[in-house]
Amino acid sequence: MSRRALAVIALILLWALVLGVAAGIPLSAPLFAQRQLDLNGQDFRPVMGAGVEDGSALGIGAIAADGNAMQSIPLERIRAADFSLLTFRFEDFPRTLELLLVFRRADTPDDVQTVALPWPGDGVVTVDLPAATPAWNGEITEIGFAEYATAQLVPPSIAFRPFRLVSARLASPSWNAAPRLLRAAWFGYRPWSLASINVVGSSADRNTSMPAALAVGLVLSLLLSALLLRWTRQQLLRHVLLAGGLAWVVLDLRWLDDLSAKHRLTASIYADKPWGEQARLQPDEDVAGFAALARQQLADPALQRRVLVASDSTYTMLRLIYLLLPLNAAPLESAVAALPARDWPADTVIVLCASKRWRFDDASSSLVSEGRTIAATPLFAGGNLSIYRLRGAAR
Amino acid sequence: MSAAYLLAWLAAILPGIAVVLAISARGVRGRAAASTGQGIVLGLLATSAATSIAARSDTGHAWQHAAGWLMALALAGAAIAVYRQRAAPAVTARPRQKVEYWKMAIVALALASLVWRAWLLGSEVSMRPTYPWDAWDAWAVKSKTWFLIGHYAAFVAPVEWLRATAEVFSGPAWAYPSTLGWMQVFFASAAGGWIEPLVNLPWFALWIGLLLGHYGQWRALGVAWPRAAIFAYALGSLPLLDSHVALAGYADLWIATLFGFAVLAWLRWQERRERDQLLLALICAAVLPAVKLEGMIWCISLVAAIGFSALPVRWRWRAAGVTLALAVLLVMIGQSQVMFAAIGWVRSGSRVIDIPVIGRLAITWHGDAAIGVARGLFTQSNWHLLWWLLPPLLVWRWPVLRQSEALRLFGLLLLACFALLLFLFVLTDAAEWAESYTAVNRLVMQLVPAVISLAVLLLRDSSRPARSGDTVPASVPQSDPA
Repeated sequence: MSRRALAVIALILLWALVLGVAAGIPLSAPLFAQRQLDLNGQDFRPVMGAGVEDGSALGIGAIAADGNAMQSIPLERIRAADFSLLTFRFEDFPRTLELLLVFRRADTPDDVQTVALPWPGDGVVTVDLPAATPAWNGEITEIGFAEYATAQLVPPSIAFRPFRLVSARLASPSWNAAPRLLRAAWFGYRPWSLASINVVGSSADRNTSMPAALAVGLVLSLLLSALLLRWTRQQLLRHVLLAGGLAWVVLDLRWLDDLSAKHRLTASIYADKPWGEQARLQPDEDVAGFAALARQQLADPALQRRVLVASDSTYTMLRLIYLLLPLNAAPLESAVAALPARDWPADTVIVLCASKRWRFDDASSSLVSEGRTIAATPLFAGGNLSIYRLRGAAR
Repeated sequence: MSAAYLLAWLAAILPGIAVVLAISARGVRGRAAASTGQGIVLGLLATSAATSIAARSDTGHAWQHAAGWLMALALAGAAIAVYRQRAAPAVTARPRQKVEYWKMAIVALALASLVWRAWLLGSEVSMRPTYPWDAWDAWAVKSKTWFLIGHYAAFVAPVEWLRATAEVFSGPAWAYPSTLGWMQVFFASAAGGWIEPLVNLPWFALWIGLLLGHYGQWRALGVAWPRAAIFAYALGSLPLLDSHVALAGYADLWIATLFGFAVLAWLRWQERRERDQLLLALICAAVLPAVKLEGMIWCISLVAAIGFSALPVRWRWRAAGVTLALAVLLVMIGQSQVMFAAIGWVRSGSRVIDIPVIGRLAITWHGDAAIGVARGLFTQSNWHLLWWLLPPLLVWRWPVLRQSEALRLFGLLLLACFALLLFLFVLTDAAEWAESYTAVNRLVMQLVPAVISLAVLLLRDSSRPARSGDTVPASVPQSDPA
């Protein structure tokens, strides 16, 4: 056998090993799955939202009032370790929705475990469940899918469109699943998130890194080739450059594909709309609603001197301040830390939004939180929003 | 998009391009690209400065107030550029180098990829309301406030805010620099309202300026155009960098661009002794703290590097040794305080350093943060294979690095900057930002264009040194083919 043929065979074996390891397939796994459990879409029952049988699939035609939909099926106690691969297929799954796997374990029957799944689109997706969540262990008594508007990105009011759950399959690990596992892990669509400005992909991603797998594979391939083909130093350098450049292009094509997919979602929400409507289509429609209501309640110029905002969620508090601009708003906690409330200006108004930490105590007619008290008079209270005027300030 | 908005764009970028052209030596390769790229970025920053001066009392018409000053600057720059063009000796057109077809094909594909990406990024910015957290929580608060109330008002600390009788504002980012905010005010007024996609469009222009500016400077430093184009593609293809354009509103890409421009101008000064490039490097360095607080750290690093390179060789290491000894002494003394003009009092204790622009940092080893830094560089999808390819490239081109004094100093500057980042993330409380990935990749990004510059300059064809001899006097003026 010529050295060249030997090198080709060695490289094929090397990359099969690298990609298999990257996909998380145990070396001892068989080529085909030894155990599998096939489920049709129609086997699932809608738990939240509405669905109807559509052939062997389940057509999801409506979501629940809270904006979520869920379909599940009870199982006869299967061992999680025997079924580590989940393959599922949806049709017309809108890009505006996020998908979760929900499951229940026999040891904790009252707890529902969840794990985020890649966006399914119209194709078949396979995921390695133990890699996706450490909670996939013991005996599983129920599995299902939940769908909701992509968090932090899609306005819930426009997120839902009908789709079909076609099928799902649980299977034991096998080498023939490796390409599908890698396709989902490396080439699956990842929506923008608030963290996208800090890290591309998810910092919680437990899949094997594509750049690292490519880099390790290339280093081993080059060393193997140099050894078998007796490359000179110059030849090795040339091949390092060529291989590095090609790998860069592969990674970039993947990134461009992901960027295009992200942009398709943005365009589906905002394209060809005037700014007024784009501004209304905020992912946090609830906070925007609170801001509009608070602005309405604070329309009187006498109430617009200083507005202190508090919420149990830092995001909600800061977002509310931004949406209230140009009202002169700042965090309540910063003001409390800066000066005693008695030294605040008398025209200070306090806005509480979805706050349990700060609450109004009727008995003392004060806002209280963790031993702190601010004398205040209620101006408005409705749902998660309440507004107070400071009382008893020295100036 | 209105005519006023388009006019405002012209008013914003023309002054920068004209001024950079005016101070750029004629006949240098890549002059047009470098001047356009750097001009776009510096023009936007000049727009911010003009708006902050001319439109304080009427932010609703900010662009009209600032445009006059900007156009005057553009005209002055253009006049100087034309004067210098006429006064300088004409240059011959250099013979075009024959480039193989396969190289042309690769460059064409790289450019096509950049054009496709530009469409995606531009389209994304022009549709999306301000999205990432700090963009609306920190960077756009002042600009939105000033634009909507119709005039400037100070942002102060909460305690002053509560005590003030005048109209002042506060918020978590009250101390952040206002440069980008004033730029947003300018474009909001031109757009006719607080229309976030139009207010954020400068981030897309920044990306174009970054790529053009670096391409042009690489050409000026002697990099062949196919190689410079491929590396411009490499820079433009980096996913985290693209994300900062698509999700516009953060200041990190501005810092990265200015730092990249500053080091390249500094290199041109070192290699070609072009004084205008030294001026450009100092301007870019000086603007850094006005964009983001940690820009002060990079500004000090750059100025120190420029000063170091300006010293006679026999003085350099003595000066560096004395400076280092002083720094060590100050830290060793404990509870020492050093007044830096723009940072304020830097206090050091036995295991604590208090730097006003960063905060109080307790010094202790954080192993998880080191893993976070490594993951950010090598396994996450932020940088393609940049950090995997850099070490072998350095090993391969080590002789080139050793031979070139300018590149050696450049490498030392980057090493010092990375050492600072590693110190920050691995040895101080800032480790939390590395473990949660909230800042580590963004701070690394601030150095990435400069790192790519080092890579491309290491691969520069050593048979074509970039010396001032690139400009050849002749009797017939002709344009630079690059």
